Amino acid sequence: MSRIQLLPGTLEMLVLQTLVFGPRHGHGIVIAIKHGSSDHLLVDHGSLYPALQRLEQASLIVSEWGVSENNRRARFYKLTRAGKKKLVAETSRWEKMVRAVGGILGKPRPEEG
Amino acid sequence: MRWFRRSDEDYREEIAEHVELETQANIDRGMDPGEARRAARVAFGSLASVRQQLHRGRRGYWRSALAQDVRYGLRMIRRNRLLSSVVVLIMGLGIGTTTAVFNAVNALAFAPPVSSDPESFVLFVSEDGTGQVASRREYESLRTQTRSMRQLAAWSKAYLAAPIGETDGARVQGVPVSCNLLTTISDVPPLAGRLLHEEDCTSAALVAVMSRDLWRLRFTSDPGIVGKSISYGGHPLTIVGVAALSAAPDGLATGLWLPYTSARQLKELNVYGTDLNRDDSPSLGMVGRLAPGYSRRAAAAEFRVLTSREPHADSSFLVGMKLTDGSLWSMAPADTLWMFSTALAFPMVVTLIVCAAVATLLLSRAVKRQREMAIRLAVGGSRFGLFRMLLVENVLLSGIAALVSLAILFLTPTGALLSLWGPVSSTAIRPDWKVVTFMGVMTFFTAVAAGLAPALESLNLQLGESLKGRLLLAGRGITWTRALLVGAQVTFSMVLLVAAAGIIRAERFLANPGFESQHVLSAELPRKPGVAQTPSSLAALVGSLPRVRSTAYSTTLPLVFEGATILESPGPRNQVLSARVSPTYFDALGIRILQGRSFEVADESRTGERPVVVSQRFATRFLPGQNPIGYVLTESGPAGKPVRLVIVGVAADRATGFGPLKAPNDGSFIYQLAEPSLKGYLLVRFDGDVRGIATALQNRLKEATGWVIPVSTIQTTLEQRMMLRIRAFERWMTAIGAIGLGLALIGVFGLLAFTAAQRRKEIAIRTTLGACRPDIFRAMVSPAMRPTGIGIVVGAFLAFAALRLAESQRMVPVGVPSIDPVAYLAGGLLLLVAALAAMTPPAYRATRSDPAQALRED
Repeated sequence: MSRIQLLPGTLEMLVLQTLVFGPRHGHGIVIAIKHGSSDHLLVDHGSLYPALQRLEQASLIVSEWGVSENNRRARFYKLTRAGKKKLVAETSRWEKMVRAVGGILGKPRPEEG
Repeated sequence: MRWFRRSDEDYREEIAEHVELETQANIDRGMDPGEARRAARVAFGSLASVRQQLHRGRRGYWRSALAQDVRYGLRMIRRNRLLSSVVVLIMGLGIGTTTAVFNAVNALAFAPPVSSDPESFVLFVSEDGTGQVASRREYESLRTQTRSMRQLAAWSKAYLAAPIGETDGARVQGVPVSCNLLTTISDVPPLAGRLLHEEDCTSAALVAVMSRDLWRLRFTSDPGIVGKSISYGGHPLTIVGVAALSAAPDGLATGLWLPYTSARQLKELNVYGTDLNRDDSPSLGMVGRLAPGYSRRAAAAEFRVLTSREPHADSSFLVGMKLTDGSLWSMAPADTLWMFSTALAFPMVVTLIVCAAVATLLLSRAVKRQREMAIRLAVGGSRFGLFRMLLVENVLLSGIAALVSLAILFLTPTGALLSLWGPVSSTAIRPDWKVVTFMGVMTFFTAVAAGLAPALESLNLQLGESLKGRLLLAGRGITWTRALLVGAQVTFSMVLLVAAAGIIRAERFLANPGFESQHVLSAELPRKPGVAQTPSSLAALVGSLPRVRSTAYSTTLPLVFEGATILESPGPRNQVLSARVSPTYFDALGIRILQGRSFEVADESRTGERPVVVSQRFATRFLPGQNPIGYVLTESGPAGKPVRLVIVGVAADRATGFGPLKAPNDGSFIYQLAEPSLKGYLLVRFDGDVRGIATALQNRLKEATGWVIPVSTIQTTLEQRMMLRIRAFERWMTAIGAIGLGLALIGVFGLLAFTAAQRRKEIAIRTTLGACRPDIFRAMVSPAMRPTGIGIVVGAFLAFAALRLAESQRMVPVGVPSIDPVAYLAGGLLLLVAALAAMTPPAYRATRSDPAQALRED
């Protein structure tokens, strides 16, 4: 199965989206993205943390230590009000772009082969 | 906004838990624990790199990194105390010199010419930059109409000059002023008596206010002078008070201030010899004080309206008149900028040498640091971070240097610094924010310019080699960076040396100025009442003295006081040096006529086009390739009426001296015929020894005029009047040249010492293979000689360009140093010898080193 590298700047959007249904820890976020994309998207676990740091510094998410499902300490991230707003804005922007790009790429192509 | 800051430790723990969770998930998927952990690590990527990213992404990272760099820098400076002190000293020299000059120029350029309430002060300047703005009629009309000025005062640019008392002392200057002028300029109460009252400007009595300097020098600060009548050029003048003006606009600092109404009575004392005190003569300067609530801009608007309301036929000056705060900057911003750049040119060259010298010194340390840098890179430091760290260290060094020089600057009165140029009475001028800002910029510039090459060198390494402790550069000799640095130092030093030598040698122009100066006596003709003789009759009178070969007279004294005129054609308006001379002038001064003829007595009665003789340089400059004889020039005459001048002869060039600023001092000159009534200098060419003839001349003049007139040769006057200025200039140039040379030598020495240390092994091998000491010496010196030689040649060209520029801007007091081959030879030779001398000790030490020992160490 071929995996796709994330487009630059989309990781933050995906992180915000995974937090819509409640707080998650870093590992949980990676798993959620992986499952949510049916294993299509490739996320470097390591690259997640600088993204989380940026989101946290922009006050789009907050974090606190908690206990994970298998009773280990883990830091849980939660969407803030600003984060939700940002997600709505980013999602609509993304949808517009997908429609626009799709409108061009979706035109009937010359027969292959 | 959340302001808490997560620590690196916090992230570290979180990441560890993340890896742990992934491992557990892998185990749950059926991997064995070892495999699971390995897979988790792989999925995470480089732990160190993520940690580094998180560390840099932290809020306040830059601050803490900078603080760390500063701590590192200070540690390094402490560790290398000797090198650091030398670097601080050299940098301090560069930053200090530049800032001191900037401080002095800054004080000259921005200081308003009044000491009290400079905010409300206004100085009127005409469009062409002169201070003559209005006629008396215009001034009086403006004064009654203005609402934006609470005070409007004027003074006459046609000042008076005459001796005080019955003696034949020096002439004292008197400025005719409106009676509110002194109170407009300063609110300091008079030292004795009173200032001028309005009544003084309406009554016919001759009164005057005396300056503090005149009071001290001539009347020993005697308070009894007030109310006394003294003779001023033969006129009885009542002194009503003594004023203390600590600052005054140009042309107002003087010995006596008289009501401008009295100028008509004293008109024969007027230095211009013409009645400039007429109602319609635009010879007044104006100053004022803004009324409360008015800005200069608002006042300017009002004056535009006032001057356009009624036609002012007297002067075109009023149109386009500017209201300034009186500082040089506000009057002529372009000239001020030019002054800044020219004054800073030499100190900036010194700074460049400083940067190159410091860079050379730091380079040797940079190479020793390569191993440390290699380790830092290996443990994850970024090259950019290390680069910044090294630069911070340099900024610290130059910062210390700047603080030291700032302290010196604050403690030294600027007067002391200015005295390098000549005697100045200026008091201490404290550096202001502009000076401190300038210094900051210079400090940063010095740090970066001096630190760039060493920092790059430190990081220019191959990790593996450097970690093993091998110096990458060992055995490479002189790298291009170092050759460039030394070349630059030599180049800049050469520029300074040639300029200094050229200007010092220009002094010889005073000994051989292109005219006879040793055997010509000059006497300033008396501008005194009761002297009936005209200059020509006096000349004829003294011509009969024994040993007198010829006599002449002139309005100006060559090289000492030059005059100038404005030419309307050819070309755009040009100021050209000019003098009015008698027909015998060229003969008396021994100036050859190369083409055409000299003046003739018949020319004096000629009407129509006025005959003139021009210098050869004038002809080549304005009329290249043309026959100048018969060419008609147009001179801007009085009241703007053009005067036609026809060239009748071309005279040989002579050295020209200080004249009006805008006339180029390149030797172009116009000689006009003096009208017999004009006052000026009597010139007497004699044979043999000066002693007897001077006394005889003085006696003859006393008999004829009744006055004792000082008589001296032009040479003596030159030495007395100009030497002070030229010597000061020479001192300054010598100091700068010496500093430049010293710095360049430090650089050359440092380079060779460093190369010698690096090439120890190579030299040892050469020695063991049979090289003898002269070979080694040559091998050491020759690679350093090449950048020195190139530097000298490039420096000579740069010096030529710089001197040409300086000459075109009249910054060179006398002579044409740019085409003086001796200056170039002397500069080059001195530099070459000094460089060789600086190279000898390290090269000699290299030949003496023990090869066995050098080979053993690693």
